Amino acid sequence: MKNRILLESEQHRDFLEEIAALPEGERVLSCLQCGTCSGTCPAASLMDYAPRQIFAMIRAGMKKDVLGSLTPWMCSSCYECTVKCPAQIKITEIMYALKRAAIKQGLASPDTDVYRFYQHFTDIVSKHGRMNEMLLMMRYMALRHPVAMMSRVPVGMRMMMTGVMQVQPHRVKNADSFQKMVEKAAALEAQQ
Amino acid sequence: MKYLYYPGCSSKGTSRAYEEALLSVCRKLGVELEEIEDWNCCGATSVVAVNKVLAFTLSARNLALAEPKGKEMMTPCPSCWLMLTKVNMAFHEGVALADKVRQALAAGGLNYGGTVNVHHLLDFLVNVVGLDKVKKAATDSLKGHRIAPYYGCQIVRPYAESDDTYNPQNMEKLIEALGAKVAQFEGKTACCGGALMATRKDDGVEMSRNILKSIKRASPTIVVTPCPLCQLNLELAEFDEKQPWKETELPVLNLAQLVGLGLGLTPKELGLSRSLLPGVEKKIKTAKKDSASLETAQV
Repeated sequence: MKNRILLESEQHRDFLEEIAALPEGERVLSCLQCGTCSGTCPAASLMDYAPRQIFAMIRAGMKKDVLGSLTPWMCSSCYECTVKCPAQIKITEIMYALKRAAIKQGLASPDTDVYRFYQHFTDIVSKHGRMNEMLLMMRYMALRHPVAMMSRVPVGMRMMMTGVMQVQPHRVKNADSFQKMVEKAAALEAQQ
Repeated sequence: MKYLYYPGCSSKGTSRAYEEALLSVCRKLGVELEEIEDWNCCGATSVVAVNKVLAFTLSARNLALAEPKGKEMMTPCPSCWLMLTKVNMAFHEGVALADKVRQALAAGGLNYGGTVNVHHLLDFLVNVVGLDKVKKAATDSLKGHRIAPYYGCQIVRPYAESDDTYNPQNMEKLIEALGAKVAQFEGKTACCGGALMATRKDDGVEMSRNILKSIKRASPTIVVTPCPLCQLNLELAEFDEKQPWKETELPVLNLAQLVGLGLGLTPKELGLSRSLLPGVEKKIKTAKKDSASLETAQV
Protein backbone atom coordinates (compact mmCIF):
# COMPACT_ATOMS: atom_id res chain seq x y z
CA MET A 1 0.00 0.00 0.00
CA LYS A 2 2.34 2.70 1.29
CA ASN A 3 0.63 5.61 -0.53
CA ARG A 4 1.01 4.21 -3.97
CA ILE A 5 -1.50 4.09 -6.78
CA LEU A 6 -2.87 0.63 -7.38
CA LEU A 7 -3.26 0.21 -11.12
CA GLU A 8 -5.96 -2.00 -12.56
CA SER A 9 -3.33 -4.31 -14.00
CA GLU A 10 -1.99 -4.95 -10.49
CA GLN A 11 -5.33 -5.84 -9.00
CA HIS A 12 -6.34 -9.44 -8.52
CA ARG A 13 -10.10 -9.11 -8.47
CA ASP A 14 -10.55 -12.82 -7.76
CA PHE A 15 -8.32 -12.80 -4.66
CA LEU A 16 -11.26 -12.34 -2.28
CA GLU A 17 -13.08 -15.26 -3.90
CA GLU A 18 -9.88 -17.30 -3.73
CA ILE A 19 -9.66 -16.79 0.04
CA ALA A 20 -13.43 -17.19 0.54
CA ALA A 21 -13.29 -20.55 -1.27
CA LEU A 22 -10.84 -21.99 1.27
CA PRO A 23 -12.30 -24.14 4.05
CA GLU A 24 -11.03 -21.60 6.62
CA GLY A 25 -12.26 -18.64 4.55
CA GLU A 26 -15.97 -19.45 4.67
CA ARG A 27 -16.90 -16.30 6.62
CA VAL A 28 -14.39 -13.83 5.20
CA LEU A 29 -17.08 -12.07 3.17
CA SER A 30 -18.83 -11.01 6.38
CA CYS A 31 -15.86 -8.97 7.66
CA LEU A 32 -17.25 -5.74 9.15
CA GLN A 33 -13.92 -3.89 9.17
CA CYS A 34 -14.56 -3.23 12.87
CA GLY A 35 -10.90 -3.60 13.83
CA THR A 36 -11.43 -5.90 16.81
CA CYS A 37 -8.72 -8.17 15.37
CA SER A 38 -6.15 -5.37 15.18
CA GLY A 39 -7.13 -4.13 18.61
CA THR A 40 -6.67 -7.49 20.30
CA CYS A 41 -3.61 -8.69 18.36
CA PRO A 42 -0.55 -8.69 20.65
CA ALA A 43 1.75 -8.64 17.63
CA ALA A 44 -0.01 -5.88 15.65
CA SER A 45 2.79 -3.41 16.30
CA LEU A 46 5.26 -5.79 14.61
CA MET A 47 3.18 -6.06 11.44
CA ASP A 48 3.38 -3.84 8.37
CA TYR A 49 -0.41 -4.10 8.03
CA ALA A 50 -2.54 -4.88 11.08
CA PRO A 51 -5.08 -7.71 10.57
CA ARG A 52 -8.03 -5.40 9.76
CA GLN A 53 -5.99 -3.79 6.99
CA ILE A 54 -5.09 -7.21 5.61
CA PHE A 55 -8.80 -8.03 5.25
CA ALA A 56 -9.44 -4.69 3.51
CA MET A 57 -6.53 -5.42 1.17
CA ILE A 58 -7.83 -8.91 0.40
CA ARG A 59 -11.11 -7.27 -0.60
CA ALA A 60 -9.29 -4.75 -2.77
CA GLY A 61 -7.54 -7.57 -4.63
CA MET A 62 -4.08 -6.58 -3.44
CA LYS A 63 -2.75 -10.09 -3.64
CA LYS A 64 0.95 -9.34 -3.93
CA ASP A 65 0.90 -6.84 -1.07
CA VAL A 66 -0.98 -9.26 1.18
CA LEU A 67 1.11 -12.34 0.43
CA GLY A 68 4.31 -10.31 0.50
CA SER A 69 3.54 -8.69 3.83
CA LEU A 70 5.18 -9.39 7.14
CA THR A 71 1.81 -9.72 8.86
CA PRO A 72 1.14 -13.49 8.66
CA TRP A 73 4.71 -14.21 9.78
CA MET A 74 4.35 -12.05 12.88
CA CYS A 75 1.14 -13.88 13.89
CA SER A 76 2.01 -15.98 16.93
CA SER A 77 -1.13 -18.17 16.68
CA CYS A 78 -2.57 -16.93 19.99
CA TYR A 79 -6.15 -16.96 18.61
CA GLU A 80 -7.15 -13.72 20.44
CA CYS A 81 -8.67 -12.36 17.21
CA THR A 82 -10.39 -15.65 16.39
CA VAL A 83 -12.33 -15.85 19.66
CA LYS A 84 -13.24 -12.14 19.58
CA CYS A 85 -14.16 -11.60 15.91
CA PRO A 86 -17.87 -10.59 15.88
CA ALA A 87 -18.18 -12.01 12.35
CA GLN A 88 -16.68 -15.33 13.55
CA ILE A 89 -13.97 -15.30 10.92
CA LYS A 90 -11.28 -17.88 11.62
CA ILE A 91 -8.57 -15.24 11.41
CA THR A 92 -5.68 -17.31 12.75
CA GLU A 93 -6.48 -20.08 10.27
CA ILE A 94 -6.58 -17.51 7.45
CA MET A 95 -3.14 -16.26 8.56
CA TYR A 96 -1.90 -19.85 8.21
CA ALA A 97 -3.49 -20.03 4.75
CA LEU A 98 -1.76 -16.77 3.76
CA LYS A 99 1.57 -18.17 4.97
CA ARG A 100 1.11 -21.31 2.87
CA ALA A 101 0.03 -19.33 -0.20
CA ALA A 102 2.97 -16.93 0.16
CA ILE A 103 5.45 -19.82 0.24
CA LYS A 104 3.75 -21.80 -2.53
CA GLN A 105 3.52 -18.82 -4.86
CA GLY A 106 7.01 -17.57 -4.06
CA LEU A 107 5.68 -14.24 -2.78
CA ALA A 108 6.85 -14.43 0.86
CA SER A 109 8.23 -11.09 1.93
CA PRO A 110 11.87 -10.54 1.01
CA ASP A 111 12.12 -8.12 3.95
CA THR A 112 11.89 -11.02 6.30
CA ASP A 113 13.13 -14.53 6.08
CA VAL A 114 10.98 -15.66 8.97
CA TYR A 115 9.23 -18.04 6.59
CA ARG A 116 12.49 -19.99 6.38
CA PHE A 117 12.09 -20.90 10.05
CA TYR A 118 8.80 -22.62 9.26
CA GLN A 119 10.29 -24.38 6.25
CA HIS A 120 13.25 -25.69 8.26
CA PHE A 121 10.89 -26.82 11.01
CA THR A 122 8.82 -28.76 8.46
CA ASP A 123 11.92 -30.25 6.79
CA ILE A 124 13.37 -31.47 10.10
CA VAL A 125 10.10 -33.07 11.21
CA SER A 126 9.58 -34.61 7.75
CA LYS A 127 12.99 -36.19 7.89
CA HIS A 128 13.45 -37.13 11.54
CA GLY A 129 9.87 -37.44 12.80
CA ARG A 130 10.50 -35.19 15.80
CA MET A 131 11.75 -31.67 16.31
CA ASN A 132 15.33 -31.02 17.30
CA GLU A 133 15.50 -27.52 18.71
CA MET A 134 19.25 -27.08 18.33
CA LEU A 135 19.25 -28.25 14.72
CA LEU A 136 16.37 -25.87 13.92
CA MET A 137 18.11 -22.83 15.40
CA MET A 138 21.41 -23.73 13.70
CA ARG A 139 19.77 -24.09 10.29
CA TYR A 140 17.71 -20.94 10.65
CA MET A 141 20.49 -18.75 11.99
CA ALA A 142 23.96 -20.04 11.09
CA LEU A 143 24.30 -18.62 7.58
CA ARG A 144 21.81 -15.77 7.53
CA HIS A 145 21.92 -14.47 11.10
CA PRO A 146 25.41 -15.20 12.46
CA VAL A 147 25.46 -12.17 14.77
CA ALA A 148 22.07 -13.01 16.29
CA MET A 149 23.27 -16.58 16.72
CA MET A 150 26.30 -15.41 18.68
CA SER A 151 23.98 -13.55 21.06
CA ARG A 152 22.36 -16.88 21.90
CA VAL A 153 25.57 -18.65 22.82
CA PRO A 154 25.12 -18.06 26.59
CA VAL A 155 21.62 -19.57 26.49
CA GLY A 156 22.92 -22.54 24.52
CA MET A 157 25.74 -23.05 26.99
CA ARG A 158 23.38 -22.90 29.95
CA MET A 159 21.09 -25.42 28.22
CA MET A 160 24.04 -27.74 27.69
CA MET A 161 24.85 -27.46 31.41
CA THR A 162 21.33 -28.29 32.52
CA GLY A 163 21.13 -31.20 30.10
CA VAL A 164 18.12 -30.02 28.14
CA MET A 165 19.87 -29.67 24.78
CA GLN A 166 19.27 -32.62 22.51
CA VAL A 167 22.30 -33.07 20.30
CA GLN A 168 21.40 -36.21 18.38
CA PRO A 169 18.34 -35.88 16.11
CA HIS A 170 15.59 -38.43 16.70
CA ARG A 171 14.98 -41.27 14.28
CA VAL A 172 11.44 -42.46 13.75
CA LYS A 173 11.39 -46.27 14.10
CA ASN A 174 9.04 -47.11 11.30
CA ALA A 175 10.85 -44.81 8.87
CA ASP A 176 9.61 -46.40 5.66
CA SER A 177 5.93 -46.07 6.56
CA PHE A 178 6.52 -42.55 7.93
CA GLN A 179 8.20 -41.36 4.71
CA LYS A 180 5.37 -42.74 2.57
CA MET A 181 2.91 -40.72 4.67
CA VAL A 182 4.98 -37.55 4.33
CA GLU A 183 5.22 -37.99 0.55
CA LYS A 184 1.51 -38.67 0.17
CA ALA A 185 0.66 -35.64 2.32
CA ALA A 186 2.93 -33.45 0.18
CA ALA A 187 1.27 -34.70 -3.01
CA LEU A 188 -2.22 -34.06 -1.63
CA GLU A 189 -1.23 -30.58 -0.40
CA ALA A 190 0.10 -29.69 -3.86
CA GLN A 191 -3.32 -30.50 -5.38
CA GLN A 192 -5.03 -27.87 -3.24
CA MET B 1 -6.89 -47.64 34.41
CA LYS B 2 -3.97 -46.96 32.15
CA TYR B 3 -3.80 -43.65 30.27
CA LEU B 4 -1.99 -43.06 26.99
CA TYR B 5 0.77 -40.51 27.19
CA TYR B 6 1.90 -38.23 24.33
CA PRO B 7 4.97 -36.27 25.53
CA GLY B 8 5.57 -33.95 22.55
CA CYS B 9 9.03 -32.99 21.30
CA SER B 10 9.84 -30.34 23.90
CA SER B 11 9.46 -32.97 26.66
CA LYS B 12 12.57 -34.66 25.31
CA GLY B 13 14.49 -31.39 24.87
CA THR B 14 14.24 -27.93 26.39
CA SER B 15 11.30 -28.96 28.56
CA ARG B 16 12.78 -32.21 29.83
CA ALA B 17 12.02 -31.15 33.40
CA TYR B 18 8.29 -31.00 32.55
CA GLU B 19 8.33 -34.70 31.68
CA GLU B 20 10.45 -35.64 34.69
CA ALA B 21 8.06 -33.80 37.00
CA LEU B 22 4.98 -35.16 35.26
CA LEU B 23 6.14 -38.77 35.60
CA SER B 24 7.00 -38.21 39.28
CA VAL B 25 3.59 -36.65 39.96
CA CYS B 26 1.72 -39.49 38.21
CA ARG B 27 3.75 -42.08 40.15
CA LYS B 28 2.90 -40.31 43.40
CA LEU B 29 -0.82 -40.13 42.52
CA GLY B 30 -0.89 -43.75 41.39
CA VAL B 31 -1.78 -42.83 37.80
CA GLU B 32 -0.53 -45.35 35.28
CA LEU B 33 0.73 -43.99 31.96
CA GLU B 34 1.76 -45.67 28.73
CA GLU B 35 3.86 -43.64 26.29
CA ILE B 36 2.72 -44.00 22.68
CA GLU B 37 5.31 -46.03 20.85
CA ASP B 38 7.19 -44.33 18.01
CA TRP B 39 5.21 -41.09 18.30
CA ASN B 40 6.22 -38.10 16.15
CA CYS B 41 5.99 -34.29 16.27
CA CYS B 42 2.43 -32.87 16.28
CA GLY B 43 3.46 -30.21 13.75
CA ALA B 44 2.71 -27.41 16.25
CA THR B 45 2.12 -23.96 14.76
CA SER B 46 4.90 -24.40 12.19
CA VAL B 47 4.13 -27.28 9.80
CA VAL B 48 0.61 -25.93 9.22
CA ALA B 49 2.24 -22.72 7.92
CA VAL B 50 3.87 -24.75 5.15
CA ASN B 51 1.75 -27.85 4.50
CA LYS B 52 -1.68 -28.26 6.09
CA VAL B 53 -2.28 -31.86 5.00
CA LEU B 54 1.09 -32.87 6.45
CA ALA B 55 0.43 -31.02 9.72
CA PHE B 56 -2.84 -32.88 10.25
CA THR B 57 -1.33 -36.18 9.08
CA LEU B 58 1.51 -35.89 11.60
CA SER B 59 -0.93 -35.44 14.49
CA ALA B 60 -3.30 -38.08 13.11
CA ARG B 61 -0.43 -40.60 13.01
CA ASN B 62 0.00 -40.22 16.77
CA LEU B 63 -3.72 -40.80 17.30
CA ALA B 64 -3.67 -43.78 14.92
CA LEU B 65 -0.76 -45.33 16.87
CA ALA B 66 -2.63 -44.73 20.14
CA GLU B 67 -6.05 -45.99 19.10
CA PRO B 68 -5.42 -49.77 19.43
CA LYS B 69 -3.99 -49.18 22.95
CA GLY B 70 -6.82 -47.21 24.53
CA LYS B 71 -9.26 -44.30 24.41
CA GLU B 72 -7.92 -41.72 26.85
CA MET B 73 -4.77 -39.75 26.04
CA MET B 74 -2.93 -37.06 27.99
CA THR B 75 -0.32 -34.56 26.82
CA PRO B 76 1.47 -31.83 28.82
CA CYS B 77 1.77 -29.41 25.85
CA PRO B 78 -1.12 -27.07 24.94
CA SER B 79 0.12 -26.78 21.36
CA CYS B 80 0.17 -30.59 20.94
CA TRP B 81 -3.24 -30.77 22.63
CA LEU B 82 -4.66 -28.22 20.19
CA MET B 83 -3.29 -29.98 17.08
CA LEU B 84 -4.54 -33.40 18.25
CA THR B 85 -7.92 -31.84 19.09
CA LYS B 86 -8.13 -30.22 15.65
CA VAL B 87 -7.55 -33.61 14.01
CA ASN B 88 -10.32 -35.14 16.12
CA MET B 89 -12.69 -32.32 15.14
CA ALA B 90 -11.85 -32.70 11.44
CA PHE B 91 -12.51 -36.47 11.67
CA HIS B 92 -15.77 -36.03 13.61
CA GLU B 93 -17.05 -33.33 11.24
CA GLY B 94 -15.98 -35.39 8.21
CA VAL B 95 -14.48 -32.43 6.34
CA ALA B 96 -12.59 -32.89 3.04
CA LEU B 97 -9.29 -32.49 4.86
CA ALA B 98 -10.02 -35.57 6.99
CA ASP B 99 -10.35 -37.63 3.83
CA LYS B 100 -6.94 -36.46 2.60
CA VAL B 101 -5.38 -37.22 5.98
CA ARG B 102 -6.93 -40.69 5.84
CA GLN B 103 -5.32 -41.25 2.42
CA ALA B 104 -1.91 -40.10 3.69
CA LEU B 105 -2.18 -42.38 6.76
CA ALA B 106 -3.19 -45.29 4.52
CA ALA B 107 -0.07 -44.74 2.40
CA GLY B 108 1.90 -45.63 5.53
CA GLY B 109 -0.39 -48.52 6.45
CA LEU B 110 -2.23 -46.74 9.27
CA ASN B 111 -5.85 -45.87 9.96
CA TYR B 112 -7.52 -43.63 12.53
CA GLY B 113 -11.15 -44.13 13.54
CA GLY B 114 -11.49 -40.91 15.54
CA THR B 115 -12.05 -42.53 18.95
CA VAL B 116 -9.15 -41.24 21.08
CA ASN B 117 -10.03 -38.55 23.68
CA VAL B 118 -7.22 -36.08 24.20
CA HIS B 119 -6.75 -34.30 27.53
CA HIS B 120 -4.29 -31.64 28.43
CA LEU B 121 -2.45 -32.32 31.73
CA LEU B 122 -4.39 -29.51 33.47
CA ASP B 123 -7.79 -30.89 32.45
CA PHE B 124 -6.46 -34.39 33.25
CA LEU B 125 -5.48 -33.47 36.81
CA VAL B 126 -8.64 -31.47 37.54
CA ASN B 127 -11.27 -33.61 35.81
CA VAL B 128 -9.87 -37.10 35.26
CA VAL B 129 -7.62 -37.68 38.28
CA GLY B 130 -9.79 -35.28 40.28
CA LEU B 131 -9.13 -32.44 42.69
CA ASP B 132 -10.09 -34.60 45.69
CA LYS B 133 -7.29 -37.03 44.97
CA VAL B 134 -4.79 -34.18 44.57
CA LYS B 135 -6.02 -32.57 47.80
CA LYS B 136 -5.68 -35.83 49.75
CA ALA B 137 -2.12 -36.38 48.52
CA ALA B 138 -1.04 -32.76 49.16
CA THR B 139 1.46 -31.92 51.91
CA ASP B 140 1.82 -28.47 53.46
CA SER B 141 4.95 -27.68 51.45
CA LEU B 142 3.29 -24.94 49.38
CA LYS B 143 1.63 -23.33 52.39
CA GLY B 144 2.46 -19.62 52.54
CA HIS B 145 3.23 -19.41 48.82
CA ARG B 146 1.47 -17.02 46.47
CA ILE B 147 1.22 -18.60 43.03
CA ALA B 148 0.54 -16.67 39.80
CA PRO B 149 -1.33 -18.84 37.28
CA TYR B 150 -0.21 -17.99 33.74
CA TYR B 151 -2.26 -19.94 31.19
CA GLY B 152 -0.94 -18.64 27.87
CA CYS B 153 -2.95 -19.01 24.67
CA GLN B 154 -3.65 -22.35 23.20
CA ILE B 155 -4.99 -24.10 26.30
CA VAL B 156 -7.96 -21.68 26.27
CA ARG B 157 -8.09 -20.50 22.65
CA PRO B 158 -9.75 -21.16 20.31
CA TYR B 159 -11.22 -24.18 22.15
CA ALA B 160 -11.44 -23.97 25.92
CA GLU B 161 -12.99 -27.41 26.21
CA SER B 162 -12.63 -27.82 29.95
CA ASP B 163 -12.46 -24.22 31.13
CA ASP B 164 -13.53 -20.63 30.45
CA THR B 165 -11.89 -18.86 27.48
CA TYR B 166 -11.68 -15.44 29.13
CA ASN B 167 -11.32 -16.30 32.79
CA PRO B 168 -10.08 -19.87 33.19
CA GLN B 169 -10.13 -21.30 36.72
CA ASN B 170 -8.61 -24.79 36.58
CA MET B 171 -5.17 -23.71 37.77
CA GLU B 172 -6.68 -21.61 40.56
CA LYS B 173 -8.58 -24.70 41.72
CA LEU B 174 -5.39 -26.78 41.68
CA ILE B 175 -3.37 -24.12 43.53
CA GLU B 176 -5.99 -24.01 46.26
CA ALA B 177 -6.21 -27.81 46.42
CA LEU B 178 -2.46 -27.80 47.03
CA GLY B 179 -2.89 -25.43 49.99
CA ALA B 180 -1.34 -22.33 48.40
CA LYS B 181 -2.78 -18.91 47.61
CA VAL B 182 -3.53 -17.52 44.16
CA ALA B 183 -1.81 -14.30 43.07
CA GLN B 184 -4.16 -12.81 40.47
CA PHE B 185 -2.69 -10.61 37.76
CA GLU B 186 -3.83 -9.02 34.54
CA GLY B 187 -3.16 -10.97 31.35
CA LYS B 188 -3.16 -14.56 32.51
CA THR B 189 -4.20 -15.67 29.02
CA ALA B 190 -1.98 -13.18 27.12
CA CYS B 191 0.46 -14.43 24.52
CA CYS B 192 4.15 -14.94 25.40
CA GLY B 193 5.08 -14.44 21.75
CA GLY B 194 5.43 -18.13 20.90
CA ALA B 195 7.83 -18.74 18.05
CA LEU B 196 8.66 -15.02 17.80
CA MET B 197 11.28 -15.70 20.48
CA ALA B 198 13.07 -17.78 17.83
CA THR B 199 12.33 -15.72 14.72
CA ARG B 200 12.36 -12.18 16.14
CA LYS B 201 14.19 -12.40 19.45
CA ASP B 202 13.90 -8.77 20.58
CA ASP B 203 10.14 -8.69 19.91
CA GLY B 204 9.66 -12.06 21.58
CA VAL B 205 11.62 -10.95 24.64
CA GLU B 206 9.52 -7.79 24.88
CA MET B 207 6.23 -9.69 24.77
CA SER B 208 7.34 -12.12 27.47
CA ARG B 209 8.87 -9.35 29.57
CA ASN B 210 5.55 -7.46 29.54
CA ILE B 211 3.84 -10.54 30.95
CA LEU B 212 6.52 -10.90 33.64
CA LYS B 213 6.03 -7.25 34.58
CA SER B 214 2.29 -7.72 35.00
CA ILE B 215 2.88 -10.88 37.04
CA LYS B 216 5.41 -9.15 39.32
CA ARG B 217 2.86 -6.46 40.22
CA ALA B 218 0.91 -9.21 42.02
CA SER B 219 4.07 -10.08 44.00
CA PRO B 220 3.83 -13.86 43.73
CA THR B 221 6.50 -16.25 45.04
CA ILE B 222 6.14 -18.62 42.07
CA VAL B 223 4.73 -18.42 38.53
CA VAL B 224 3.14 -21.55 37.10
CA THR B 225 2.26 -22.28 33.48
CA PRO B 226 0.82 -25.37 31.79
CA CYS B 227 2.79 -24.63 28.59
CA PRO B 228 6.42 -25.67 28.01
CA LEU B 229 6.98 -22.83 25.52
CA CYS B 230 5.51 -20.20 27.86
CA GLN B 231 7.82 -21.46 30.61
CA LEU B 232 10.85 -21.27 28.33
CA ASN B 233 9.94 -17.86 26.93
CA LEU B 234 9.38 -16.27 30.36
CA GLU B 235 12.69 -17.75 31.49
CA LEU B 236 14.43 -16.51 28.33
CA ALA B 237 13.07 -13.00 28.94
CA GLU B 238 14.52 -13.06 32.45
CA PHE B 239 17.77 -14.63 31.24
CA ASP B 240 18.12 -11.94 28.58
CA GLU B 241 18.09 -9.30 31.28
CA LYS B 242 20.33 -11.07 33.72
CA GLN B 243 22.87 -13.11 31.84
CA PRO B 244 25.31 -14.48 32.50
CA TRP B 245 24.28 -16.85 35.22
CA LYS B 246 22.64 -14.57 37.70
CA GLU B 247 20.15 -16.30 39.96
CA THR B 248 16.44 -16.11 39.27
CA GLU B 249 14.29 -13.44 40.87
CA LEU B 250 10.99 -15.18 40.29
CA PRO B 251 10.88 -18.95 39.66
CA VAL B 252 8.78 -19.93 36.63
CA LEU B 253 7.60 -23.51 37.01
CA ASN B 254 5.60 -25.76 34.73
CA LEU B 255 2.36 -27.23 36.00
CA ALA B 256 3.83 -30.64 36.90
CA GLN B 257 6.68 -29.07 38.88
CA LEU B 258 4.25 -27.00 40.94
CA VAL B 259 1.92 -29.93 41.63
CA GLY B 260 4.96 -32.04 42.51
CA LEU B 261 6.12 -29.45 45.05
CA GLY B 262 2.67 -29.45 46.57
CA LEU B 263 2.78 -33.23 46.85
CA GLY B 264 6.09 -33.00 48.71
CA LEU B 265 8.29 -34.41 45.93
CA THR B 266 11.99 -33.59 45.93
CA PRO B 267 13.57 -30.92 43.67
CA LYS B 268 15.49 -33.71 41.95
CA GLU B 269 12.29 -35.62 41.13
CA LEU B 270 10.92 -32.40 39.62
CA GLY B 271 13.99 -31.44 37.61
CA LEU B 272 14.20 -28.02 39.29
CA SER B 273 17.94 -27.78 38.55
CA ARG B 274 17.17 -27.85 34.82
CA SER B 275 15.61 -24.37 34.96
CA LEU B 276 17.25 -21.86 32.65
CA LEU B 277 18.19 -19.56 35.52
CA PRO B 278 19.96 -21.06 38.52
CA GLY B 279 18.75 -20.74 42.09
CA VAL B 280 15.12 -21.82 41.64
CA GLU B 281 15.15 -24.23 44.58
CA LYS B 282 16.78 -21.71 46.93
CA LYS B 283 14.43 -18.93 45.85
CA ILE B 284 11.35 -21.06 46.48
CA LYS B 285 12.55 -21.79 50.03
CA THR B 286 13.40 -18.18 50.92
CA ALA B 287 10.38 -16.67 49.14
CA LYS B 288 8.09 -18.82 51.24
CA LYS B 289 9.70 -17.58 54.42
CA ASP B 290 9.45 -13.94 53.27
CA SER B 291 5.84 -14.36 52.23
CA ALA B 292 4.95 -16.03 55.55
CA SER B 293 6.58 -13.28 57.61
CA LEU B 294 4.85 -10.67 55.44
CA GLU B 295 1.51 -12.23 56.21
CA THR B 296 2.19 -12.34 59.95
CA ALA B 297 3.20 -8.69 59.81
CA GLN B 298 -0.06 -7.81 58.03
CA VAL B 299 -2.10 -9.56 60.71
